[in-house]
Amino acid sequence: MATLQHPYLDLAAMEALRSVRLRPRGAAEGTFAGPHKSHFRGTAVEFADYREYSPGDDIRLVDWKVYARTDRHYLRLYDAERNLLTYLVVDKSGSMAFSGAVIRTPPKLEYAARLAAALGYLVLREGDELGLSLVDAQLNSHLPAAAAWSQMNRVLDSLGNASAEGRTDLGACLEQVFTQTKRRGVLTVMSDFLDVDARFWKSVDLFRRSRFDVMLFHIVHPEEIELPAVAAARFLESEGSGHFNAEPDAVRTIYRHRFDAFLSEVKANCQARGCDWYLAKTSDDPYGFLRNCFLARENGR
Amino acid sequence: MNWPAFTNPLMLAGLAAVGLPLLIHWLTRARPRRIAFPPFKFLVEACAGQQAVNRLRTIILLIVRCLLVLALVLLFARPFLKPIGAAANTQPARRVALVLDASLSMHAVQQGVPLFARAQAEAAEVLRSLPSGSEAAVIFEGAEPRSLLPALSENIPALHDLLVKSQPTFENGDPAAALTHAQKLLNGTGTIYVFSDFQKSNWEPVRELPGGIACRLRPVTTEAVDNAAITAARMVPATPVTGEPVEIICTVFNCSSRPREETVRLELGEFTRETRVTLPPFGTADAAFTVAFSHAGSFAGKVSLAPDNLREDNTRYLAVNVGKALDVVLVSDADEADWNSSAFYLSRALAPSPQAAPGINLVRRRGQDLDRGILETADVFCLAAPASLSGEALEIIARRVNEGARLISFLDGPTAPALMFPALNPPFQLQGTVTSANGEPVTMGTQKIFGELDAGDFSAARFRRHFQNRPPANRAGDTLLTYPDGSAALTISPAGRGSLVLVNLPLTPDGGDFIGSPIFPALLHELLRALRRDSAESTVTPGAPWVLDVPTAGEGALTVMDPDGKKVEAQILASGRTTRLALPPAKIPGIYSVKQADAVVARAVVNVDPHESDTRPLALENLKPGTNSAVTVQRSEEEFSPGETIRDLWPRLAAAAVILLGMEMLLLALWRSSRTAAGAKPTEVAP
Repeated sequence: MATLQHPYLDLAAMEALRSVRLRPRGAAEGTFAGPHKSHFRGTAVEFADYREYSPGDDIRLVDWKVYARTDRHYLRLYDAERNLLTYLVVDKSGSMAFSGAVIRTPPKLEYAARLAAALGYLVLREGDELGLSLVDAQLNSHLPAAAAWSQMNRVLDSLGNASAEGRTDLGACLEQVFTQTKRRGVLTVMSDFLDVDARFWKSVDLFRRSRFDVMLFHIVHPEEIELPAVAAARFLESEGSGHFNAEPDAVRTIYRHRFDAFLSEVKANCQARGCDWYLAKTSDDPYGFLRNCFLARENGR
Repeated sequence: MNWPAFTNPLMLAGLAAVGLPLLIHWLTRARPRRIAFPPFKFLVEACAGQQAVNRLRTIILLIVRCLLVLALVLLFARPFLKPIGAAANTQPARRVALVLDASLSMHAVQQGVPLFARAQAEAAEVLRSLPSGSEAAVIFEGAEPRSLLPALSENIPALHDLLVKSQPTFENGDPAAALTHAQKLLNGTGTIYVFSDFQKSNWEPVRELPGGIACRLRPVTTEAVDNAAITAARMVPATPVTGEPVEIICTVFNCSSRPREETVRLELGEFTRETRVTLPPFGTADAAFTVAFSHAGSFAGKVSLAPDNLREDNTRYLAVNVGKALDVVLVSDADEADWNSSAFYLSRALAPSPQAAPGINLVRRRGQDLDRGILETADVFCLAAPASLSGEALEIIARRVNEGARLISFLDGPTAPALMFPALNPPFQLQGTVTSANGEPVTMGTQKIFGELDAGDFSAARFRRHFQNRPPANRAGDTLLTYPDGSAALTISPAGRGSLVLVNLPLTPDGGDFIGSPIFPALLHELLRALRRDSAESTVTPGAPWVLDVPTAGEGALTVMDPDGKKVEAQILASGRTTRLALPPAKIPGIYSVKQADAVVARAVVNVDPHESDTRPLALENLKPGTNSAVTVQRSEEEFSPGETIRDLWPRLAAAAVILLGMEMLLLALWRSSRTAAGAKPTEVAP
């Protein structure tokens, strides 16, 4: 752990996240025992149920007191506690390269990478398993979930090597990620969600039906909300060849209404599917933002 | 068909500037930054239609600005519509000379419009109606005829432009000179248009209109403009001394058919006075003011009436130099202490004491004691039969009298013939001495300087000796007193700019009882008064060159300033005791100052010609047409030429430029406000 040195992971700043934990809303289905409640019966301390003995059961689980009273063999069952599987999906399409025209901030991809690194650290710190998928038009890079600290290094390397380019097809990519998952867990998607379509929401539904806990981190640059403060500009399509001359002052209100409607639509879709939606501005401190998200999540908001 | 032509076609080169707004737009257009913008599609949706609107706004703004520049360029080129093609060719080219009365009387306002403006508008209309190829000249009638262009010109627009910018003068009109000038310009063919008020006082000398040329007379008024004017203002005496009463007499003229009362106001030096005069119809009345200057110096002022239809002749300017005292030199060889001598009586009569002779500085000299300094500075010479006078003294006295000094020559003694001063054109010649034991009486002559009551005082006086003479009939007017034999006893006559008094009366008690009587000092002082009644008013009028005499003092250059404080170029003609300056024709009436080293050393006044105040028009029927010339009197305001006229387009262009400018500013303001509203700060979106 002492070897963790990466521009995307500021451990000193992450002291603000010392007291927060990522808790799944449902049961954990991790491979290993962990701190999270699961559907499995195991050897934990919390009694769950009785079951009649069948050959092959561990005789250490037979409740001898019940046998003495009833002359029948019953096993005493306990809830097993498993670790949590967290899948990080980071959008690395061309639109994530935006870092502002007047208000300069880190690019959206870098901001997403910092969030992913911080989240990954928290996950691994709890002994949970962490997987990472970098997506654009397709599943670009995939790290299967693992709980070792070495996974953190792999995740950081993968994030560090990512460059924002290409088009986006989040729906298709999430379908591919879904095929790569073996057990349910927490799905966190970090993207600007500019090209969300019906297929994307179907993919989200796919995860939700599999009882995944889905969290969408909506990364935006402040200038995407309010338009850059320039008199006139030639706006280029990030993931295409389109261009358009406009005077932001002349269209700011209309644009703002349109962008608000887009954010509201994404938020409404998330709420309808029981997903968590967080709007992250690249001008905000990622760790403070993450802390607020977790606190809100724990408070049931 | 009308087609635009241009007064200043060179200004059309400015049409290249029409592209200036486009160039400025292209040079200053926003060079957009290239921004890769992820929410591109939302921006495109927001701008749907907006970009087209912006482009449309830009195009509209550019069109308005280009039109504005176009209108301004055309405005400076001064376009006008003139007939071309068939319309122009239907009328033959013409040669016309427009004579505009620009004299003072054309300042008169009738029914709210100045007469000159009326004449100007009608003359401009004639110019506009001329067919293409016509030649024209515009001549202003003033003291001297003044042509706007030196010869007939085809450049009618330029002529028109000069005409509409012109102003009337303060000069008197000389229509005969203007008509002659017009005739000379036309050189035998063409038409003379005359626009004037046809003042009788100016036009009466014009007996006949130019011959061989058609004349069209357009009176701008048919009746006299009601007017009151001060036509003269004189001071008696003209060169007063301190403490001496000065009478200022103004002649007020009523140019209207009804009697009127006017208030005459005097502002001269420290004095401000007002008096009222009653004026008969088309008659004059005098208004008199009496003032006494307390100190010597040069004073200027004016007498004025309340403004009326012709306010330019309501003011008359005055300038007066007030001297300290009148220098009288008494030349006599008799003993002043001898009560039996003429010198005794003369000196006591002239100045019994300093208090009894205010304003007189008496200096007594014997004939052989006269020096040049005394002679060159004296205002009045009294020659009481001195025994001898040098030729040089006689020459100086004669020259000084010609320059304005006064001479009283007492012919009582053997030197009398020498004191006749033939160079001063005396009214009689001495023929011989007449003696009478009982004494002869004198009677009043033709000229009256004494009142009727004073005449009786002379009836008791007897004169036992005199020089016989016979004044010619044409000089009878110079005689004040005469003997029964027809000899002149006392004459006063002008001599150069001064006066000459010949006293053919004995000045000793043995010659008669005249000098011992109380009427002797009275006669002497009355003579001095009469000698100084040279109240001739300055006759300098605008439009005529004039000369100005300035007392020479100091070495500094003389500067002449007009009433507006502008420097007037003056040329020194002669310098001596006085410096004579030649000045160009004065443009405006008023007080002209001569300065030397920032001090005013002299003042002179220029007043308008009183003839201009009489606005009564001439009956045009009395004007005889010249040989082989047709005269038309155009009494109505109908157009002189019914053909197509030249129409100035600049007022329309000026209006268009103003509208375009207003439109450009309005559009900018509207679009800026809408853009400001569109750029309002957005509301925050909660996560």
